Amino acid sequence: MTALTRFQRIRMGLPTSSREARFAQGWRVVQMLAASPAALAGLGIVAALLLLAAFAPVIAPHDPYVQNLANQLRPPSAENLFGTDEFGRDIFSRVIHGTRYTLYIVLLVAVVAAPAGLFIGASSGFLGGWVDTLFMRITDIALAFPRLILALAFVTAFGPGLNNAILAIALTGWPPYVRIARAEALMIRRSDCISAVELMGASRLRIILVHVIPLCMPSLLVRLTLDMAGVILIAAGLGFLGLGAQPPSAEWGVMLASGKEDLLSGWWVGTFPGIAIFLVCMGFNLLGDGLRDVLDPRQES
Amino acid sequence: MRRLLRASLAIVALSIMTPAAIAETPENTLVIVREISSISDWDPAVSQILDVTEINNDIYERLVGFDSRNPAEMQPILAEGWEISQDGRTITFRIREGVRFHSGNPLTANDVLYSFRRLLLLGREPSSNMVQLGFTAENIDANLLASDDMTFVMQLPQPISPSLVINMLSAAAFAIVDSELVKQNEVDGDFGSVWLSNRASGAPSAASGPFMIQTYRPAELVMLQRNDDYWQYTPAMQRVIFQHVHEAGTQRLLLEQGDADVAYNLTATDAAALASVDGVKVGYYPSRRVLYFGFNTLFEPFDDPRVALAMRYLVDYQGLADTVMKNIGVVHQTFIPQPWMGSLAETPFSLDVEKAKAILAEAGYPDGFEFTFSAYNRKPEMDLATSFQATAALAGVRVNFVNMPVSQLIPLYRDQQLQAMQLSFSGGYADPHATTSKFTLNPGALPGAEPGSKWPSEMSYRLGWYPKELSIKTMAAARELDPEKRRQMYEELHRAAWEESPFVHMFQVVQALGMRDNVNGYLYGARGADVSFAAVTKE
Amino acid sequence: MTQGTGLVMGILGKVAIIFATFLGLIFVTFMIGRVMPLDPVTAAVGPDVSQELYDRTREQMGLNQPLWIQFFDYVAAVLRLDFGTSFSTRQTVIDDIARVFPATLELALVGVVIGALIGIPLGILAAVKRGTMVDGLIRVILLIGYSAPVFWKGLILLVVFYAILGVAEGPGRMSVFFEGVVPIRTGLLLIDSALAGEWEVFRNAIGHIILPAVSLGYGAAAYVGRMTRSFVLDQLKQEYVSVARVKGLSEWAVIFHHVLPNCAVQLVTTVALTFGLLLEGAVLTETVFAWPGLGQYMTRAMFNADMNAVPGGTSVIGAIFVSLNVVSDILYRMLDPRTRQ
Repeated sequence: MTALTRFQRIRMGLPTSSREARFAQGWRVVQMLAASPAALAGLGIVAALLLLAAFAPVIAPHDPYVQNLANQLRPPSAENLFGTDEFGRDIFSRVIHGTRYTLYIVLLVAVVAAPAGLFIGASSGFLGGWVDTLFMRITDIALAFPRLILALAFVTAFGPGLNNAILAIALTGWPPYVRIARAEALMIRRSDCISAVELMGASRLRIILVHVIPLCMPSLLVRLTLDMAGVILIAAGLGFLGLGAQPPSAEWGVMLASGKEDLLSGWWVGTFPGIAIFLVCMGFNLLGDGLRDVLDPRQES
Repeated sequence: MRRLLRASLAIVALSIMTPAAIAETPENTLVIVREISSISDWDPAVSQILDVTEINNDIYERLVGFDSRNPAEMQPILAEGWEISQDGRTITFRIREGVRFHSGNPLTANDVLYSFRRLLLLGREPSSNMVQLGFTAENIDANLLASDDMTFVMQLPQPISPSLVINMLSAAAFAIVDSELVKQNEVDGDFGSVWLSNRASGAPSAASGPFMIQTYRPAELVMLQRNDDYWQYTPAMQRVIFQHVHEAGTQRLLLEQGDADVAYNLTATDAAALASVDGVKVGYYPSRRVLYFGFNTLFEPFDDPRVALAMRYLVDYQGLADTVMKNIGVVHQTFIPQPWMGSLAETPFSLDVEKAKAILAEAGYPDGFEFTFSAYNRKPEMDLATSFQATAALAGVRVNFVNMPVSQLIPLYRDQQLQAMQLSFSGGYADPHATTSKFTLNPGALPGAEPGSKWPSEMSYRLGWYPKELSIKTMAAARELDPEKRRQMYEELHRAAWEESPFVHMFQVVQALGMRDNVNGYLYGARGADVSFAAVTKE
Repeated sequence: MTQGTGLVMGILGKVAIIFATFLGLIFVTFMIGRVMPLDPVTAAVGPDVSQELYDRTREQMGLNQPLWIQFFDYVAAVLRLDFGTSFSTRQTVIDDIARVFPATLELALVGVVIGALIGIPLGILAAVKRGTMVDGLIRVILLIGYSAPVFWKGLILLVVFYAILGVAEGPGRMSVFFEGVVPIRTGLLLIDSALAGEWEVFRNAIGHIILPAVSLGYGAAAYVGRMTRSFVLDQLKQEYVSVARVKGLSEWAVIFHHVLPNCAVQLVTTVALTFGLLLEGAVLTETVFAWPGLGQYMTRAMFNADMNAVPGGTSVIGAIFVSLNVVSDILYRMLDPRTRQ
C-alpha cells in the first residue's frame, strides 16, 4: 500500500496528527454542507459578498460618488444597469460599493460583540460562584431588552454616524454569545484535563482563552452567521432613518432613504438596494441554518 | 365563536372589495400636504420658522397687510389709516372699528400696545424687528402709547424712513393678539408665551383673522376652522387641514390620487412630471426666499475674505439651475430678492474651478483645505450642498458633512459655532432693509456699540463678521428718503458684498405649488404678508 | 427547608429578577439620556432656549450632584411617569406618548393577527409535509419574510397597491377630512369607528392600515411560521404520535387533537414575543406610511436628539417588551405540559 499524502489523509478521514484531525473535521463539515442546496446557495451569496467587496472598484463600471446632474433619475439601461439616482450617480456601482459598507459593519460588529460575549460567558462558567450568578443575571436582563430600539437610542446619544451605529449595534449584540461560552466552560471545568493543566500552573485567564474559547467555535460560527443577518437589517434601518451611515455614502440603507423620496419618479432608486439587502441577509440566514444543521443541531434558531 | 369569526371576515372582505374610486376631498375642506415637523412654537413673537409665519398669516392680523382676494397693494388692515408727523418721527394709527377677536373681545389700541410690547420684551428672535427700530426695554413705554381705545401712537427712537416702518408692520412678528385672553394665561411673566406657543388642542384662539386653529397634533396635523364672524369677508373654505407628509414623492402621490388638494414641497422633477397628469396643475410663484451658504470668519481659513470669494466660484449655478432647481429656482446672487428695490439681476459668478484655485493659491491654500459643513435634510437644500461637495473637491477643497435637523442648526448658528452651513432667508417685510440688515449689517460693528455684545439674531454676527463700513452704509440706506439715492446705495452694498462677504447667495426660490385643477385663489406672493389660503375656492 | 418555603423563595427570586430587569432598563435609559450626551441640559430642553431656562433646568436636573443621587431621582421620576417635556412638541413626554401610542398599538395588533393567521397554518403545513416541495416552498416564502427589511416591503407595497393599482389607501391613518368625526374611546380607530357606527370611516381606516399591517405581518408570519414548524416537528418526533398513528388516527386528527394543544403554550408565547418585535418594527414602518404613532414620534425625537422623548419612548417600548418576556416566561413555566404531570 502506497503511503498517503497529507492531503489524501485529510480527505479520507485518516488523520495522523491533531492538526490534520481538525482539518479533517472541517472537510467533513464542508461535505455535509455541500449536500444541502440551500446551504450552498447561502455560501455562494456570502462568497459573492466578499468578492464584490474586495474587488468593488474593479467590478463597478462607474464611480459611485461622481455626480452628473444632467443624467439624473434615468431608468435602468445598458449604460446604467440599475438606473441613476437624483444626482445622476450610477446605482449599480453604488450597490456594488455598498457591499464594502455591509462587510465593514458585519465584521466590526462580530469582532466587538462576539469576543465580549464569549469572554463574559467563559469567565462566568469557569469561575462559577457569585460571579457566575451575577453575569448570568445581567445577561438575562440584557436579553429581555428590545434590541433595535436600544441600538437606535444609543446612536441618538452618540450622534449619527457609521461608526457610532456599529458601536450601538455591538453594544446590544453580545448577550447571545454568553450562553455558548458558558456551556463549554462548565463542561471544561468539570473535566480532568483542566485539573492537570491547572496543576501545571496555568492561570485561569490562560485556561479560558486557550482551552474554553476554541471549543466554542462550532456553536459560535452558527450563532455569528445567523446574527449577522439581523445586524445587516438593523444597520440598514439605521441608515434608512438617517442615524447610521450618512449621505453621500453608498450604504444600502441610505440609498433606500433616497428611494423613499423618489417613489414615483424613480422606483429603481430604492428597489435595487433593497434587493441587495434582502439577498445578503437571506444568504447569511441560509448559510447559518445549514451550518446549524451540520454543526449544532441542538441550538435554537 | 366561529360565527363571530366568519362575520368579522365578511365585514373586512366587503370593506376591502369596495372599489376604490379616485378619492375626493370634500368641497368645503382644503387639504394641504406639507412638511410641518419643524414647527414647535406658534407664538408670533417667538417663532421665525417660515411654516409658522405663513400659516399664522391667515390666523392673526396686523396693522397693515394684503387683501387675500385682491393682493395688488398693501392696505390698512387693523389700522384704518395713519398720520405721520412733520419730522417723520411719530406715527399715529387709527384702529379699525368693529373688529372682534375670535374670543369675541373687541379690538382696541391696547391690544396693539400689548402685542408690540411683548414682541420686544420677550426678547426672542422676532424681537430684532423692534430692536432695529431702536426700541429698548427702557424706552419702549415712553415711545408706544394707546392714547385712547382707538388710537395708537408710535414714536420712533431713531430717524428712519416712515414708509419702511409701515412696511415692517406687515411682518408676521407684528401680529396683534387678544391681550385680555393672553393676559389670563400669563405664567411667571411670560406674556402668555408658553400657552400661545404650544396650542394644546382646544386652547382658545387669541387672533382675529379668517381662520383659527382647532386641532394641532405636533408633526402630524394642523386643522384650521373658519372664523364665521370675520370682519372682511367669509372664506369659502370651512376647514383647512395641513397634513404632515415629509417626502416630496409621497406628497405628489397623495396629490395625484386626489387625497390632497395642494402639495407644498415638490421637487423640480415632481413638478415637471405633474405637468402632464390629468386633474392636477402646477403653479410657479416667485418667492422671496434666497438660498445661501455661509462661511464662518472665526474659523480658519475663512478669516481671509478671499477664501469665501473662491467659494463663490465653486458652485455649479448653471448645472443646478438645469436640474435640481429646474423651474423652482432662479440663479440669484444678491441678498435682496426680486422684485424688491435694490435687487440686481446681475450674476457675476459661475462655476470656475481654475479661478477658484488661483484665488485660493493667492490666499495661501494652493492645495485646498478641509472643513465641516452643516447641512439639514430638506430638499432642495440638501441637493445644493451635495453638489457643492463634489465641485469643491475639484479645487482640492474637502467638505465633510454633518447632518442635523434645523432645530439644532439654528441655535448653533446663532452661537457662532458652525464652520459653514447652508440656509435660506426670507425677508419678513417688503423692503430691502429686511434682508440687507441681516447680511451687511452687524450692529456690533457700528460706532458706539458695546464691545463684546452679542447679536445672535443678526446673520453677520453669526459668522463672526464685523464689517464696519458696510454696517454704517446699511443704516444710512435705511434712513435715506430719496428712492433713487437709496437704490444706488443698495447697489454699492451688493458690489462690496461680492468682494468681501462670507455669504454666498445662489438661488431665489420659485415656489412650485401642486394643486388639483379645481383649486383657485391660493395666494403665494413674494412680499411675505401676501401668502394666504383664505380666499381659496373650489370649483 | 419545606417545599412551601422553597416555593416562596422561588417566587421571591423570580420577582427579584423581574424587578432587577426593569431597574436595568431604567438604568440604561438613564445612561442614554443623562450620562452619554455631551450636554444633557441642551439634550433635554433643546438648543433654542434662554439662558435662564437653561440654568433653571440644569438645577432641576441636579447635574451637580453625584451620579447615584441623580439616578435615584430619575427612578423616582420614572415611577411617577414623569419623563420631562419634549422640546420639539412642547408637551410633556408622557402626554405625547399617550397621544401617539394607540396608533402603534393598533398597527402592531393587526400585524400580529395577520402574522399568526398566516404563519401558524403555514408552519403546521410545512412540518407535516416535511421534506417535500411544499415544505421547501413554504420555507422559502418564510425566509423572504425573514430577510427582507420591513421598510422596503412597505415601500414596495405602497408603490404597487396605492400608486399603481389604487386598491389601497395611502399614507396616514385615515383620510384627514374625516378628522373629528369619530369620538375617541379606545384610541383604536377600527374599534372606535365601528362603535360609533361610522362605517365610511371604518372602511377608510381599513384601507389605510392594510398596507403597513401587511408589511409588518409578513415579517411576523415568517417568524411565527418558522417557530411553529419547529415546535410541530418536535412534537411529531414524540412517542405518543407514533402510538396515535398506530391506533389508526388520521394525520390531521393527530395534529389538531394532540400536537397543537401541546404546542399551544409555546405558540402563544411566540405570538406574544412577536408582538413585541412588531412594536420595534413599527419604528421603521411608520415613517414609510406617515403613520402617526410612537414609531414616528421616536424617529423624529431621535433625529432632533430630544433626550427627554427618546429615553421616554425607549422606556415604554422596553417596558412592554420586558413584560411580554416575563409573562411568557411565567406562562411557560406554569403551563408547560412537560411539568404538568
